[in-house]
Amino acid sequence: MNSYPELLDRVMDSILTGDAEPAKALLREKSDFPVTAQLNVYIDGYRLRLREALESAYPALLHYLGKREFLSLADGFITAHPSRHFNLDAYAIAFARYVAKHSQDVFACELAMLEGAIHDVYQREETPAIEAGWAQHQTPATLAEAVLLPRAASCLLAFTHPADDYLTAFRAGEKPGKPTAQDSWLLVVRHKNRVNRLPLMQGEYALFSLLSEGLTLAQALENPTLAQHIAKEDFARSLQNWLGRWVSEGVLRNPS
Amino acid sequence: MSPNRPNPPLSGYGLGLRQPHYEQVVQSRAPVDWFEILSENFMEAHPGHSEYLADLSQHYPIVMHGVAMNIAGGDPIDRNYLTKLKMLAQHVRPVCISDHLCWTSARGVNSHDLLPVPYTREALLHVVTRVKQVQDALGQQLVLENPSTYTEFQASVMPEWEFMAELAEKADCGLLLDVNNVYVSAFNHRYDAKRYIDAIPAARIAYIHLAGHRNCGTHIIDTHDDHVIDAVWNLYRYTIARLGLVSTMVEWDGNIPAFDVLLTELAKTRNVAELALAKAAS
Repeated sequence: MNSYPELLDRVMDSILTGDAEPAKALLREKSDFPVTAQLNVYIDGYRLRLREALESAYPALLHYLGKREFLSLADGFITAHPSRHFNLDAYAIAFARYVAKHSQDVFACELAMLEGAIHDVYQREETPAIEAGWAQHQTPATLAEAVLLPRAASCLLAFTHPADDYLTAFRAGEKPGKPTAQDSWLLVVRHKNRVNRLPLMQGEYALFSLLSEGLTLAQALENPTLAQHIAKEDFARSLQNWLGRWVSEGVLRNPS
Repeated sequence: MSPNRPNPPLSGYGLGLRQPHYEQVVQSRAPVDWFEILSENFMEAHPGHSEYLADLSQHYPIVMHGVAMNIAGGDPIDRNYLTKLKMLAQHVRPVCISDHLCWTSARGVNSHDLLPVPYTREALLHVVTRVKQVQDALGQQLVLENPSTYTEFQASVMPEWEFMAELAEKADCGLLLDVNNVYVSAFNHRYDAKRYIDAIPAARIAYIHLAGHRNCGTHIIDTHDDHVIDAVWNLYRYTIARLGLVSTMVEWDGNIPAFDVLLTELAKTRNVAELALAKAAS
């Protein structure tokens, strides 16, 4: 006779494999609702639920790939990575990494990365933002030594296609086709309970990357990487614009 | 911690609160006696959700209803889950905390479904022990809902209603009587739904759920995505006539309609209950 945990394990085996056999003998037949059909309610429901979670989190990717190709990736992910967390919303975040590993379509991988980041940022812990007017209280010396880190609920992204433009068009109800390759940079950040997407210029992305590593502002401005993307004579004006924008958009973490 | 015979903590008629209606409920001060929230939607929430719940709880009593406690599961109780549930309860101060008599995961894998329990003596002892552990951890009584099920175990030695009644007594927990689920399970397992209602200890019932479902001919699937059907209204009438007035709410989790549709369904619930009571008294 099976123990209580063994009974449950066999039912779970059927659900995860999609095969009624492990649990079939444990259950009561009904003449017009056989055991296989009974189990299929749970088997089908399991896969349907996880598919719906992925479709809900990656609607633009679903549109781009089409249902057949999207579900092929989704089913592969579901089989390889069963859910191990009570929060179904958290399950979808890892799908972007799976797509990156299993799809040959570079734009699909980038679109998945973008939608996955939006989903991820939405659920991350909250950290306080540097307040408006912060820069006015800084001297040149304090500004130079400032370590400006991004808030925890943020993600910096670089693409070889205009992935954010595609997502914007999709969300506006358009049916965009595959875009032409063109480098783009984006910051996804949650501020005042909303997830915002901030397109960045290449120099802005480069500076933000350096600051995210913990460099002081002075160190970041001296870094040769930055000079590749922006002329030194433009530093001061660009920095003023970018810092003002980062503060107003709630991008930077309040260090106090 | 709790009386041996718990008093129903709720009165009036409530609704399951779902995301499309969040703003409207708070802004319009909806004419509803209480709301039931899905605990898991708020247990890992960012501050926006906390602010929303603080606002909501100022105007309405709240019930926290979960789907992932895995109370009948074979894995150890998820302490991380309990900690987050308790933190949410400390913030929301719910009138009660409920979940389902079911298991949801095994060997660490979550099915995100309410899976059926074999109604054996071993299972009863197992679940009673876990309910007591959870109640100790939460510092309050747990209320357990009867699930909709699509299969029965050969190993079961008692019907579900006996299991629920004995569980409630031995664990000193409350019961959430889902009348739609009674109807669905009775249809799927070919028994008389009224036998279930007759066997449930009235004093243990904290509140009642009503919902819609999908009839597939050979079986019914508990979809919570439609109006309550006439047969379930009839079973609800029978329930109220037998048990007296019990606080009742309408659940609608899929194909969620405009909020006014839910209010209309809730008004019907009130009418059905009051007429059933009046008829029983006459």
